[in-house]
Amino acid sequence: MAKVTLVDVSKVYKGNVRAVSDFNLEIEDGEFIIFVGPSGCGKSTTLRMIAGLEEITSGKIYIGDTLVNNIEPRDRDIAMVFQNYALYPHMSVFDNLGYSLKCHHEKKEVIKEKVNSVAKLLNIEELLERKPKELSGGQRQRVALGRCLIRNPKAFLFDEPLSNLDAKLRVQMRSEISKLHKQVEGTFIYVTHDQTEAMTMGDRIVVMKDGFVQQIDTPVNLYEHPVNVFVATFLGSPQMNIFKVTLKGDKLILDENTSLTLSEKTKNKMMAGYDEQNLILGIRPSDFDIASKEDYDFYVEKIDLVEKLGNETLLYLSLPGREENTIVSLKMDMGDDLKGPIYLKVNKDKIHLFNEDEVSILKINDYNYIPVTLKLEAADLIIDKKYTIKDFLNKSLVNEFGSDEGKIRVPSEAFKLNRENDDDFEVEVEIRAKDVRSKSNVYFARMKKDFIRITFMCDKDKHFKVGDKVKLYAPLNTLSVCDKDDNVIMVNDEISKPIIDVETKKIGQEFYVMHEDKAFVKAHKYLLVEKLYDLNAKMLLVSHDQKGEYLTLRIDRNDDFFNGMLLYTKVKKIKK
Amino acid sequence: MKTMTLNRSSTKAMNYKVKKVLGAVAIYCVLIIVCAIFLFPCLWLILSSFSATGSLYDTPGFFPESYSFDAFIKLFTDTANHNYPQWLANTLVIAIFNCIFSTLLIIGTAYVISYFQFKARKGLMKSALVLSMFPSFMGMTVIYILMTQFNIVNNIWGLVLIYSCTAPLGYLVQKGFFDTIPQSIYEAAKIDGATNARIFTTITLPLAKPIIVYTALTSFTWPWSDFILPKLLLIEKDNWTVAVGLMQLGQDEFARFAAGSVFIAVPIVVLYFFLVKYMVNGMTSGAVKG
Repeated sequence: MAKVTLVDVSKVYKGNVRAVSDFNLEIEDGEFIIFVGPSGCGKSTTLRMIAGLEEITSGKIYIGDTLVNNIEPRDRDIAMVFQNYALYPHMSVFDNLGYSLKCHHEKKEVIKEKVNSVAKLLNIEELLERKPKELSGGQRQRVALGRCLIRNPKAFLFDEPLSNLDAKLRVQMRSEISKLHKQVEGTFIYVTHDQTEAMTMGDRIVVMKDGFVQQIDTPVNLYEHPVNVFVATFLGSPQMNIFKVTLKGDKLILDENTSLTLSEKTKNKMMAGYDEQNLILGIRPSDFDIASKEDYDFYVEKIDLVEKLGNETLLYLSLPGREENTIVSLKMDMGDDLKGPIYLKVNKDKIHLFNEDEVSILKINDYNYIPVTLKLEAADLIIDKKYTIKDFLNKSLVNEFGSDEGKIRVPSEAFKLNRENDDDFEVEVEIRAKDVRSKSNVYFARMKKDFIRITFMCDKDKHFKVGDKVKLYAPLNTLSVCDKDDNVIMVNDEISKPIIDVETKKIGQEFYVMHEDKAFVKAHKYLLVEKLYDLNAKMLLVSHDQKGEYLTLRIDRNDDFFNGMLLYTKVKKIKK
Repeated sequence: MKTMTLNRSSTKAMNYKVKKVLGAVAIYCVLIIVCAIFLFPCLWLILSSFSATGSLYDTPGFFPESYSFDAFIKLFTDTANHNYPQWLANTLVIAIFNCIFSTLLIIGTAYVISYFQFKARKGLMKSALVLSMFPSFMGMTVIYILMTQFNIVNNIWGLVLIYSCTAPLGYLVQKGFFDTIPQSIYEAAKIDGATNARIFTTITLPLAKPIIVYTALTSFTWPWSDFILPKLLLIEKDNWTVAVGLMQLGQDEFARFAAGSVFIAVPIVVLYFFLVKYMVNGMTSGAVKG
C-alpha cells in the first residue's frame, strides 16, 4: 500500500479541450477516496492518468515516492476494476484471477493458493471453472474485484464499478467494497457519478466539475459546508432548493411579502460585507417543517404534487424567490393526506448562503475535536500528561468521568501559528486543502494520529501547499473538555456552580424561563443571555443575577436561543 | 352482440394464421429457387465429370447420357501429358504455405493497425485502401520483371512469396474484427502486468480465433482458383498449378477437366470441416457488460 500524490496534473486533448486542470491531491496510504461529479467532469480521466492508461499533459503523479509519469501501467503496481468488468472472456474464472500472477512469473502452486484464498474471500469458490459468460452481473463484478485483490497492489482504482448493476445488487456490492477496504486496508481510489456511493463509501470525496476540483472534504463536511452552489446542489437527494434573495440587515428578502430572519448561529457564521446585496439562499428539502399559523416562514396556498416514498413524503410547491418547484421533504405517515394551504418553517441554523458568484459566504467555524487522555489530580485536570487546567472541578459540568479517554474541543479560529504562552496546546498537522472561497483563509488539515481532521484559520498573507507540515497552538483558555462521545464536560470559562436545570417556554414571540420557586422568579424578573454553550442535547445559558453573580442555567435544545436575548421568568405550576 | 364480437375476433385470428403460413411458403419458394440457381452449375459439373464420352460436344442436352469413373481414373493414371497429381501437389504446397504466411501477415497487420496508435497509422491505412482498389493484373509486368531479377520465375516459392507479400493489403476485415474487442480488456491486461507481446499471444489471438480461421481458409482457397499469376510465372508443366494445368486440357477432355475441378474441392472441404468449429461467434461474450 502506498500514498498517491497528484501535483498540478492537467490533461488537454487535441483541439485544446481541457479535461482536467491543475489537479492537486494527496491520497493517504489506506485512504478510501472518491472522485465524484457529472459526466465529462474529468474524474475518469484523472483515474486513468493515475493508472497510466492516459498520458498526462503536465504535472506529476507519485505512487509512494516514485514519480510514475513515464512508467508503464504494468510497472506501476496498481490494480483497477473497470465499469464493464473487462474480464478475459476465453479464460475461466481461475485463469482470470491468476492472470496477473502469471504475468509476474509466479509459481503455479503460489497462483493456486492465492486464487483459492481470494475466491474464498469473495465467495466465488464454486465459480472457478466457469467462463465469464456463464456468470451473472454481480458474480462478474466479484471476479473483477478478485483480480484486483490477488496482487496486493500499491493502490486500487475503481472506475464506476457498480454502475452496470441493478439497484439491489449495487447496494449489496457497495457495502461489500466498503468491507473489503476495511479488510485489506488498501488505498482505494473510486470514481462514481452516484452521490449515494460517494457519501456512503469514502473517507474523503473530491467533487469535480468541468475538469476543476470544486471541493475535497469528508462526506459530512461536503454536505454541511458546501463551498459553492454546484457542490451544494450536487450532493443530497432531493437536491437543495436554491432561491434568489437580498440581504437587508438580518433579513433575507425573497419578495415584497416574504422574508426570512437569520438565526444567531447563521449570522455569526456569515462573512461581513454582504448587506444590501443579492445573494443565493440554499435550503435542503429536509430543513423544512410544518409550522403553526402563529409562527411560520412560508404560507403555501396549493401543493402541486405529493410523492409518498414510504420513509418520507416529498411536496412540490411554488415558493417566492425561485421559478421552479421547491421540494420539501417531510417525515410523515403514508396515510396522512396533505392538501394546501399549509404553513412551513425553515431550520434557519442550517440554511446555506452564497454570493452572486455562487461561492459560499458562511465561514466554517467548526470546532475541532482532538482525542486526548484526561487525568484528575486533586481539582486540576491533566491533559495528555502535558497541559494542566487549574481548578477543573469547579468549572466542570460533571464531578467525575468514567474513562481516561476524552477529547479537547478547539474552535477553528482559536488556532495560532505561533506560540503565545508556554502552556499553549500544541498540535502538528499536515495541510490537506484550502477553502477555495476568496474571502477567507481557512485550511483543512489532518493530524497524523487517526487522520483527525483539523480546520483552522490564519492570516491572508500566509499560504500553505498541500502536504506542508504545520504546528498549531491554541491557548488553554480557549479549550473545552469533552468526553469521548463529544459531550462537553467543561466549558473553559467562568461558569457558576451549581448549574440550575430549568424549562423554557415560548409564549408568542417571547421566551420564558420556568421555575418552581416564586422567590427565584421574583429575584430574576428577566435574564439576559450573555453566553451560550452548545452541549449537544442541552444548552448552557449564562447570565448575571441582580447582584452581579454568575447564573448558569441548563435548558433543553427546543428553541433558537442567541446571545443578547432577553428571557422572562415565570412560575412553573406543578401538577398535583 | 357478444357472439358477433367473438366471431369477428376469431376470423381475424384465422386470417393472421393463414397470412403467416402463406408468407412462410413464399419465403421458402424464393429460397429453393435461389438454391437451385446456385446448385445447378455444381450439379452439372459433378455429373459432367462422370460423363462416359468425355467431350462437351457429345452431350445432347444439359446432362450426359452415360456415366463412368473413367475421367477420375485417367486424371491420376494418364500423367504423361497432363500430370494432374503433380499440379495438385504444387497447388497444395502453395496453398499451405500461403495459408501460413498470409494469415500471420494479415493478422499481424490488422492487430497493429487496430491496437496501436502511431503517427503514420492513418496514412498507411489510406494508402492500403487505395492500392487494394487496383486490379492485381495491373502489376503483372512489374512482378514478372522483379521475379526474373530475383531469379524465381518458374518456381512455386516465387508464387508463395507474391501471394504472401500482397496479402496484408486485405487486412480491413480483420482490423474490423479486432476493433470489436473491447479496449478495456487490453487495458486490464496492461494493468495486470502483461507486455504487448503477451497481450497479443494470450488475449488477442485466442479471442481472434474466428477471424484467424476465416483468414486461413480464404488464404488457402485463393491459389486453387487463381489463374493469371501462376500462368505468368510458372512456365514448365511440372510446376503448374491445378488451375493452369486444367486450362491446357483439350476440348474433348471435358470430363477430365470437370473431374479435376471437382477434386479441387476435396482439400478445401476437408480443411473447412476441420476448422469450422473454431468459427463460432460470440467469443467475447461475457467479457464486458453488453
